[in-house]
Amino acid sequence: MRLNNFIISVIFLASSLLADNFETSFNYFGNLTASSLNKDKFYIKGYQVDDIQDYFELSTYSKLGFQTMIYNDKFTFVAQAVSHYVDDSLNLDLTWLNAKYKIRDDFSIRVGRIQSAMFLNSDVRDIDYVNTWAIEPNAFYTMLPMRYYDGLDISYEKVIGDYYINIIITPYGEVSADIDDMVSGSTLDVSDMHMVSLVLSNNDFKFKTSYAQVTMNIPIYDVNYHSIIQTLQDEGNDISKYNYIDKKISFLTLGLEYNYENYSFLTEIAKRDSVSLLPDTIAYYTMLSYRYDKFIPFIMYSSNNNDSSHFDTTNINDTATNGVTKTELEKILYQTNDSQRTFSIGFRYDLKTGIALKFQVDKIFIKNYGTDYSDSVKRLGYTQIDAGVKDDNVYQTTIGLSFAF
Amino acid sequence: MKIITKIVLMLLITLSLKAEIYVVISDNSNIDSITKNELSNLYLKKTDRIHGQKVIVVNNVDDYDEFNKKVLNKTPSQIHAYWMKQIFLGKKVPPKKITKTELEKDINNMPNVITYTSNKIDAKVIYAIK
Repeated sequence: MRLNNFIISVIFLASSLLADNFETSFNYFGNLTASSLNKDKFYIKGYQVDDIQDYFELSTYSKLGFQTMIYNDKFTFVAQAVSHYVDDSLNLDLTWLNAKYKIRDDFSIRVGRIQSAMFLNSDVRDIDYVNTWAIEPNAFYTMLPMRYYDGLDISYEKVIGDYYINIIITPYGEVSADIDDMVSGSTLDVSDMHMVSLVLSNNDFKFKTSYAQVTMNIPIYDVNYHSIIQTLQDEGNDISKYNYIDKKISFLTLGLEYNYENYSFLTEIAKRDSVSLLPDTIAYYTMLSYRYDKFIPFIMYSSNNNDSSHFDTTNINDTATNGVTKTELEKILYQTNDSQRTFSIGFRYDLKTGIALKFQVDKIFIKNYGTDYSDSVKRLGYTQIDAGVKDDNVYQTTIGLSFAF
Repeated sequence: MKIITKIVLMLLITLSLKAEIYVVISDNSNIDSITKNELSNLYLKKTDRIHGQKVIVVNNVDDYDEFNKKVLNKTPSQIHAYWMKQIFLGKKVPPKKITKTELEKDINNMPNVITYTSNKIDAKVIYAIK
């Protein structure tokens, strides 16, 4: 099922023009942020964004976004576009475009482009002003298979006593994202997404858990990959765990936000499982902050751990090519490793309502698994390193303004 | 000694002058009381019902920050961040804001409207907080 955003756009515009009992809101948000690494030959990179390098420049965390919402008691139409600062220019991306119908006070259905609600803050990750951190815990957010999807969700929300409960079911979602800056000429295709999320909160805490399953084509970094896999299969090896086409991947997440007086504690853990070229992974982060009126210092630790057995090729038989094909496989596996842990300190200062100054220093430690091919192969993960670099850590410094009105 | 006494007296006067917030509803309403948590759920628009009855909450622009601080435990930046999050999620918009004059004039003509004020007015007080 491919949802037609054009139809939603037409409904959106028609509603705004024809319905006189609808109200309209227009809001905007953004970041003006500079980042730098303390070393060369390292690059901080996520798909759809530019590199952070070893000199201060307006980073890809800089962005400008707009949203318009047309709503009444029953219907809500939302359109949001975000422009990221990539390669010295603003790159526009349509991040929300959906129509919501309130079936009852506690039931609603939404169709269109929707930001993924898998994590506690993944559906507002572009609205940096609402978060304390200057940049999200990248070791954790690399787990998210997509920023947004085209699909539908059904929401049930209820207040019982002091508790607010929200259950969101996503029967279907899909997305095709351009990841040309990561893998030349590639797109990341995610389809058949099914997800269920539960939120339980009161004035002091918010708990969220999600389970999702997606079908994904995993990007391949090596044009010779097919012949490498075919050779190993011909030699009698089980190559199911190195497949990459139409692989089912599951995610389980747990998140907790707890506020006590001026303290705020935030933590999330996510587990990704599949039998594919993508390693099974557990990632988590923990953040503690304290509010001194407008000044909020914080510390944060995040970690992404690939399953090390994924990189173990000891049991692969490659007598036919005398180990040459196995070596090529190990190089590819090396590139699928995105394990890292990050220790962060920083602060947020609320300059005025709607504008916050943010500062963050991340110390990123990179983990390598299996045979170390860093002499000849560039490692691709969220923190990429050039071939031959033996260093295992890098500092990233970020400073900037976040705003939302 | 006199200076210290004066300072203590000034502090006591300042504390005693700290505004009390009265949450009010029309005299015609059958809602007689509300808890802080119920107020919080209504003003954060997690629900629009109290004791099974649909209500509309309205902010008083003159006592807005004081109410958010005392009832919702949120600073102006925190409440702004909360509403920005709800708006950018396409979920909900903040309650409307009216002035104290409008509130005093209209409260008894709007039976389902809950609002608040730091002045005692001619309406049913269902919650008070110092």
